[in-house]
Amino acid sequence: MSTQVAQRSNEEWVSDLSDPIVDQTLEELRAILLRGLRAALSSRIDYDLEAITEDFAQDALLKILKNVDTFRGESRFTTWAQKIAIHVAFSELRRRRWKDISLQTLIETPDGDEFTPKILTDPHQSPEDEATQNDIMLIVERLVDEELTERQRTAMLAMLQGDIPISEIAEKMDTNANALYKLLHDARKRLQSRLEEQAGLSASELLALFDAS
Amino acid sequence: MSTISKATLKKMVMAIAATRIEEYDCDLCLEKLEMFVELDLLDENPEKSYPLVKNHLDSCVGCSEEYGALLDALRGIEASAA
Repeated sequence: MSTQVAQRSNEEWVSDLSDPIVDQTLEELRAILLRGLRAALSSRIDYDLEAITEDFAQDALLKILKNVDTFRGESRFTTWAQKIAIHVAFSELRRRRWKDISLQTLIETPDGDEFTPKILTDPHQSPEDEATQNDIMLIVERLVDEELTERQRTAMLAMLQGDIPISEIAEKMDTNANALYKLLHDARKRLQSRLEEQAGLSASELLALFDAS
Repeated sequence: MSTISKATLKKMVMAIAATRIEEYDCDLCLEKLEMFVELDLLDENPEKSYPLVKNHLDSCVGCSEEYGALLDALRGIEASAA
């Protein structure tokens, strides 16, 4: 007797999707993933939703079946499965979006936010705060040149100026996302320490100064 | 050496100032994301239970995008079941 989807427990999902797989359960999960993918992608992509969501759902199901024994039961099974489907979809969409774009082009292209007093000056911000912000930004600009390796500088600019996802930066730099994240985290920790010394402000004071603007 | 714009420098200062000794990389964030999102859907302060997930989402455009999409996916499923 099939359990209605809404009432199926995590244990039932895992059991039905472990060898031997219950086909009806698999198809019910596919339908759920498709509904979720359509809801997530309809406002984000403007090409054929039907075909692409079918492909993503199929790839996700393969990944879910391969990893079903890693599900720890800390959430609903369907939430965990949907997360995998979203990750599969967005990994592919990012790859397509960024594949023909070079890091160097993005870093060298102005991000459209050149200094203009009108855009970047907050009328509610005191002149003293603005002057302090400018001083701190000059310190950071110097520290980035002095403290970072070329690789760290490139990656950091790509992330912050180009808004490029770290997975795509890593791909273009022949590394993986986690290794690159660690490289940047180490860089940020070092910069934080230097910045606090030279600005004479703690990290939380720096955040407060810039958050307010 | 290319000039860094003021807007990018501002983002850099914020990113540097917000750095924690311990942070999650993308894999760790993704590992906890389903728990974070379920608490979010229940309005139960996910950032309190998973502060390092929140910290990562605030600074990682890829993971943040997936988190938003997962929320939309789950809300879409709930709406269609209603």
